[in-house]
Amino acid sequence: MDPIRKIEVEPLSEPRWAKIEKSLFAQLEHAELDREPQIKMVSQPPPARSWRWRPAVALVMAGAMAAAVGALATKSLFTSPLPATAPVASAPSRVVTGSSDSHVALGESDVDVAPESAVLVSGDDERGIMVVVDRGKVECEVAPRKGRPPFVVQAGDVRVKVVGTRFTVARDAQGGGAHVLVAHGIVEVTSHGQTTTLHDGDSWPAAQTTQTPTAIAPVTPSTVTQNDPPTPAPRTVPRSSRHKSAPLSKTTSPKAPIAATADPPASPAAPVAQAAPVGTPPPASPPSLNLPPPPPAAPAVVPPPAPPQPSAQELYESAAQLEAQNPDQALATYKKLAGGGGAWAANALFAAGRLQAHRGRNADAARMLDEYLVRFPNGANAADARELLAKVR
Amino acid sequence: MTGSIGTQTQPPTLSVVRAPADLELAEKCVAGDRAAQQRLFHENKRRIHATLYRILGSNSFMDDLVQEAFMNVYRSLRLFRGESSLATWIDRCTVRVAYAHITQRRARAPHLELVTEPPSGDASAESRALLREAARHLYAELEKMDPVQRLAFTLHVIDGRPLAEVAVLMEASLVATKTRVWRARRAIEKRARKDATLAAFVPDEEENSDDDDDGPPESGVQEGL
Repeated sequence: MDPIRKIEVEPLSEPRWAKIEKSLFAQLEHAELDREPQIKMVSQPPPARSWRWRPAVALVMAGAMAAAVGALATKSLFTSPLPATAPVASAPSRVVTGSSDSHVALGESDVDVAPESAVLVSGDDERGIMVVVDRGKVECEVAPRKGRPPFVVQAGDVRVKVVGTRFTVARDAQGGGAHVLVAHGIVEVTSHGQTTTLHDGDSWPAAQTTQTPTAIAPVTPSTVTQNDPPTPAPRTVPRSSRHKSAPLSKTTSPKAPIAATADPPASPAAPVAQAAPVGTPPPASPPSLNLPPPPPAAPAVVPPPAPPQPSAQELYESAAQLEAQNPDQALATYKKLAGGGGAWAANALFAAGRLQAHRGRNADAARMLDEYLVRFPNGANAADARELLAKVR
Repeated sequence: MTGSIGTQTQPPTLSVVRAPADLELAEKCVAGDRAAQQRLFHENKRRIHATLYRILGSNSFMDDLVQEAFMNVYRSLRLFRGESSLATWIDRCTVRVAYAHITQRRARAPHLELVTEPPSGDASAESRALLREAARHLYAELEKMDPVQRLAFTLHVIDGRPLAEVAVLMEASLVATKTRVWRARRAIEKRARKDATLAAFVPDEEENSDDDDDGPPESGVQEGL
């Protein structure tokens, strides 16, 4: 026998096969849904908000798209078994990033693919857009759907349906779960049959531990759409106030204009049948923020043990509200809280670092975020802190 | 190298296979029958993986490539008429994915130096380590090679497929395929003369006298790629 044929195939582990299968069928599901007929919606005037101001951005996107199309054209000779039949427009395209990130423009929406990520994007504004996150992280800025099919992100078992917002979806390092962070707008997260609605500043799932409330990092100001309202300061609700099966970190900050009333529910034929349309009450079984508060035994907000002075939570919230008007005062309050202990100290320390980063005081921000990671290496915002730290450095 | 593995002449065809089971499975997959799609996945995943592995030499990027190969299969099955076996159809999709990967990776990735694996004391472990080392040397050489030559070589010599089948998978003529394998083998042998590890791994030319790919290139070298 030819000695070369001694090369043996190194098998893939079963978990790896399972991951491949899961991701493959998520892609396949959307590819099939792409072919489903869409129900025509009553046409509405184009949204007179943030998306109209972005021609400059659109130009940049167009350049990126042209480059992407060029690259795909080079690839297409071989990626499709029978090129003549491959539906180019709706065929999913895989984006795999190396050490640098990548940007994909999908109609009026944008997807930033973080380094070391693999995603599959398909569809368009008319047919609905699907982004499947294999690994890594994507940050999506989605134009209000306004009757168009939804923008959907699938990350493992987690499905995120979007009305019009800016948000982040990240797979964990093991490729199992996913983390969703909403900067503004409304998204619906469906996981294991349960749908949860997220609003501004919400994250899903919530903190790693059941005791630690989660502070959400607002979106970097420079990336917020100009006409959008400023990202509200987050206020966290202790996990104990939430429905147990809804691992949601909910803020009580005011909602952005991209609300249920501003955006009609998506077409019922849209490729996310199991997700409840935004603006309508969610199904009774999946717990959601739209549900009435839990029974009296579990009050809506359970503050930490009330001291005679303002509680840590109240201090934190007051600082959060001061961020826009008086950032120095907010910072002082955060620092005071961070000097103590407990969950609010962690939140405050992270918030202080985040605030300084947003103010452009990178050295100070880096110092605080470093301190956060040293003191709370497994804190609820550890991942956000690392990411922010990398940015400010 | 033109970026296509198609040729101007009619590629050889294998015997016409009208496998009702294949056709039925393909039709179910096209109809969106999830059970059928999963069956196709489970029945062919190791086949696709093995083909990709032998072409590429490692499991790097394998998750993405396997998925891409299956997506290509699922997308193209609506054109499957049972004129070849489903396995051949799947192999053809796989080869295309491998080709695309090789050409794209070559365009964007720097060549990585080989790192020698330290031998252990165990004889069998030593032998395996040497084999792995030789394989690394081989794939390092293949990495420099024209992608279509590499494909033809790996499919025929490493994966053990007959030349006619390789020609079908690459949509090339038998002559062109034979030439590609011959050229690739020559390049490997040339390299092996300077690389003892590789030399121990690659058979001498004389040892392959029974093979049908040891002849010099004939006409049709410029055919296709």
